[in-house]
Parts: sequence; structure tokens; C-alpha cells
Amino acid sequence: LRWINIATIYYEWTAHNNQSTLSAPLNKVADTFNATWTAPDGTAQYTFNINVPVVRPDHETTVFERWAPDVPTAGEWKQTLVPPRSDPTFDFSGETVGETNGGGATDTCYFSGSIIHQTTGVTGGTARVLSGNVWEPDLVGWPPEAVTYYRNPTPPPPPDPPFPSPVPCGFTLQQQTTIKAPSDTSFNNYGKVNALGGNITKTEVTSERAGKRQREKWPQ
Amino acid sequence: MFSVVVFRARQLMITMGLMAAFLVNASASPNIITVQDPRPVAKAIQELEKRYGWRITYEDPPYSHYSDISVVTDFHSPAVPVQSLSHLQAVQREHQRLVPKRGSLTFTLPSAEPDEMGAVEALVKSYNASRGGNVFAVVRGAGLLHVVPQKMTGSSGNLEQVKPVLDTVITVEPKERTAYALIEEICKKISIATNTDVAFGSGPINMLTQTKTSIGGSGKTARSILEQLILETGARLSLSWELFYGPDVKEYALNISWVMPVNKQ
Repeated sequence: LRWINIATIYYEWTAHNNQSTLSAPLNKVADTFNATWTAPDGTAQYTFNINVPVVRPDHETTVFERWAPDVPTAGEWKQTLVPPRSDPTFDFSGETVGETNGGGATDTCYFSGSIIHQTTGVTGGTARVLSGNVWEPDLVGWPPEAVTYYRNPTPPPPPDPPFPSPVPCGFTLQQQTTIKAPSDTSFNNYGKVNALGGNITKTEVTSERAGKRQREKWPQ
Repeated sequence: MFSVVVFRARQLMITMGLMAAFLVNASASPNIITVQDPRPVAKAIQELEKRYGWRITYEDPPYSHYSDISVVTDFHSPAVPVQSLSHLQAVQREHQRLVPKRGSLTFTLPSAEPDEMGAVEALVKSYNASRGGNVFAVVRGAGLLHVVPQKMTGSSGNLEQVKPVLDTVITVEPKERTAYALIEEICKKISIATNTDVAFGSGPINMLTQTKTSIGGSGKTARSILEQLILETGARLSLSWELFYGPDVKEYALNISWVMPVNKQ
């Protein structure tokens, strides 16, 4: 048996995104094309399946946007995915980001019998990547009821309550961000593990994400 | 015969089949479950949810009798049981932190692979027997099982009938809002109707503030509206709730939590 090269096909993958929804092996994006070889004595049809690696963000940047309108004691953080240097214009829009635990969590506000659940890890939200590789918001912080409960401010007004309260206290947890392209069947890690935190003092709350911190007086 | 040249950092890969192997924890679980906690029934439910992936909601009774209450003297040590009515009155005057008194619960599952109702009924039956009366009952909802309070130690020192706050009949205007806003609305309506504060305590706030719902209803129990929301989101997510009562603040906090699916072979 002898193989002879009788034709060369040039194929270039030009898409700077992972949007193909064709079935592909793990961590691959697929494409397909047909080719016809015409010879004097007939033609032959061929289908080629192309699989290239899914591109993942190298990391993300984060900025504080505002205190959440619905949850005024939690900060809203906005993220921008940064493509790898080898493909700096890569577009992740339309993909889904998620989160998993990247390490242990602490909750120094919690005590046995508390009416508020202990913070034990990330809550597993997802968000769609928008134009500009932005995804938002990531809410980080305590709900208002938890802040009030842990301050134990009854009967109001404080200003310096003598009764027991664990504040100042807070939670810290480790967030591993993940992303899912259309061809993925599950989420894949990207970037470093982010430290998230929420702190409560007698007069203020804090929201922390990936080394950045925002503080506000609450209630105003 | 043909060669294919791919121009790009990504390289041509040969399609290959991939066999996914799923590892399942197949360790045998003992049929006897023992828990110790200020809320032993809630703790036991968490254990069932963890083992079987069931979603079972829980509502605290309103703890009011000193024999059901402990005082937190140190946030890092177990709370100390209140000894008498006068002791309770004293710690209330000092605004000490009060929590349900720690208790234990042991129950036997009907089998190694029990049905959900049978297991929850065994749990509740065992606890009720230890309390000498029907403190809790199991209620089957539209899609979830609910463990709700029925009786609690009253001022007489005997078990007295209580009305679960989530049995409160409310009306919520059906309009598009976030799941978080709906939960807040439900809590607000219960608070107004019962004159007892109920508020969102904890949960997946990212998901709840991003999920839109149009659920509402007239003359429905708060539990049924909440259950409708949980079931609606349940197509994608597995959520449940626990409603905890604080005997010091005399209010309820609604804690929404994930129930992780359990892979069974």
C-alpha cells in the first residue's frame, strides 16, 4: 500500500470565539467542511472534521460597581475577562461563567443556634458573558437581615450596644471562577482563586473581591 | 489522499471517542442517624438531604418557654440552658443572645434505601416521641415535603398548638420581579399578617437577584407560593429552605440553600 498526495486543501480557522455548537471532544471546538475531488473517471466526496482547543480567559479584572439595589448590604462587582496573549481580541460573549469553591471558608459571625445559616462556600451563581467580555454582577456580602441580627441592636437605637454580639465579624471564602463555552458539557476553571469577603461592624458593612474592598455605612 | 493544513494557534485534532467515568460514592450508610444540635430536626433533615438529594423544607416553632431556650454566654462555646422563667426574664432584660436549647435526635431509617416520606416520617415520629407530643408534622406539598411545627411548649409548660407562620394566607400580585424581590414580598406580607418579623436570612443572592419570576397568587399560603418559586427554579437548580426562629429577636429568618444531587448507580 502506498499513499500519494494528490491534492492539498487549505483551511484556516478565523473565528476568535468558541461559538461553534457542533459536537466536539472535551475542551475542543469543532468545525466541518466538505471537499470534492474530481477526476476524469469520477468524483469523490469527503467530509473533514476539525477540532481545535477551546480558548479560555487568562484571567479577569474586577471593579466595584455599586451596592446592590435589592440587597443594599452586598456589593455588586463587575468583571472583564482577559483573553490569552496569543489571541488578545478573543470574544467570550455568550459563554457562561460560574463559580466553585477554591478552598475553605470562614464565618466568624456564626454561632451555634444562629437564625442565619453559616457561610460555608460560594453559592454557585452563573452569569452570561456580555459584549466586551464583561460579566456582572457578582454580589458579595451579607443580606440586611443577617447584618441586623449579628449586630444584635435591639432595642434600638444602639449607639454602643452593651449586649453580646459577634461583630466585628465576617466571612471569607475562596471562589474559583469557571466558564462554559457552547460546546462544553461542564464548567472549566480559569484564572486564579479569588478571595471573597463580607464584614460587619456596628455601623458599616464591607464587600471584598479579589483583593479589592468597598465599605459603606449601613444603614445610611 | 488529501492532506489538511490548519492555520492557527489551535492545532488540528483527531476526533476521538471519550468515555466518561463517573465515580459514585458507594459506601454503605448506616440506617441509624443521630444528630445533636440546637435544632435537631433541621439538622437531621440536612443529613437526609445530603445523603439522598431530597429537598425537605423546615420551619422552626416559636421557642418561648425557658425550657426550650439557651443563652449564648460566649460565641465560641455551647450556649447555656436557661434554668427558670426568672432566669429567662433576666437574660431578656440584658438583651443576651438566645438560641434554641441543644437537643439530640436518633432515628432509624425504614431501610437502607428508604422512600422520602417514610424517612421523614420516621425522623419526625422519633422527635415527637422524645417530646411527648406532636411538635412537628410532615406535610406533602405540590412537589416538596415540609416539616412544619404543630405544637410547642407554651407558658403553661405544656405543649400547645401553634400555627406555622408559612401557613399564613397572603396575596402577592403576580408581576415580573426577581426571585429575591418575590421572597422579600412574601416575607413582608407574612410579617404584616402575623405581626412577627420574617426576613430573608441567607441564600444564593446572585442567583435569586438574577432569576426573574412572575409568580403570585391570591389567598394562598405563603408556603405554597414559596414552594412554587422553589419548584420553578428547580428545573435548573435544586433549592430548599429552612425558616429559623430566634427566641431573642422573636423573628424568623428564611434561609434558602442548595441541595446537592446525589448520584446513584
